[in-house]
Amino acid sequence: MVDKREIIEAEAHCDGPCGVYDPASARIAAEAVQSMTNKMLGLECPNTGDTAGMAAYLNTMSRYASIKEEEAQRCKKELLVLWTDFFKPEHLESIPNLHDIFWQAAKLCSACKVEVSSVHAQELMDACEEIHGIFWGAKGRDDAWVRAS
Amino acid sequence: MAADTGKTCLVRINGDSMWPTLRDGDEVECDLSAYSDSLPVVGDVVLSVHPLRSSVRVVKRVGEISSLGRFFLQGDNPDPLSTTDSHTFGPVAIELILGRIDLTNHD
Repeated sequence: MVDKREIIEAEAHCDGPCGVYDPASARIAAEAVQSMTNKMLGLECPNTGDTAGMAAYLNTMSRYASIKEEEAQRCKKELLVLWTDFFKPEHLESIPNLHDIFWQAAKLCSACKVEVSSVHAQELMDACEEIHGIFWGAKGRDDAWVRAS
Repeated sequence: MAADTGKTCLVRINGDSMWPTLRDGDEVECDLSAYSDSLPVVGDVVLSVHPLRSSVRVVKRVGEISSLGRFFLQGDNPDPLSTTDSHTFGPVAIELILGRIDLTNHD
């Protein structure tokens, strides 16, 4: 029996997925992209006659490039999960430019993947910081932006 | 049917599956006797017992009524990740539907 005027709590949300989202995953990947980008730009090329040195240089540069591309792709994936799974149509009421923010951030991931650009790497970090603020704001929180590096 | 004749209750919405009709934190009235003498019709917003979690109550809209007389409940939110409804827990029996949500005075 239900008492008259009793307040019943009715669930009106999805209970399927884990429901655990955090833009920190994208931020960590973006930091790795920035770190690898800066390492690539700072690596000194040996003389062409230095066979062993050139091999080490190419090996190191290849590894930096590989990690940069992997992390850029990971960053894009993490951003897309937030965009398509966490954010809902109702969020567009308070964040009307939400789609453009994520679109531009995803574009930066692609740019960082194919380029060696410290400018775009920083812009990707800036985009992640903006998304961090939007995400926690949507959850009614004001979590501080932090970096691991 | 689990309805109590002549009774109403208040239902507090927890979540956004019924957005934009109902928002998180909204309180709406539920007519617990609405289906004492009739059945829900397509378009009704109803309070139901979750068929797989008996302690949980859900508010959804009747989307379809099957040939077997079971009710396909769904959220109004167009985002499929916003709602757990009959798309996942299947159509529900009339015994689980507790009443009809009154939206007449709801903004």
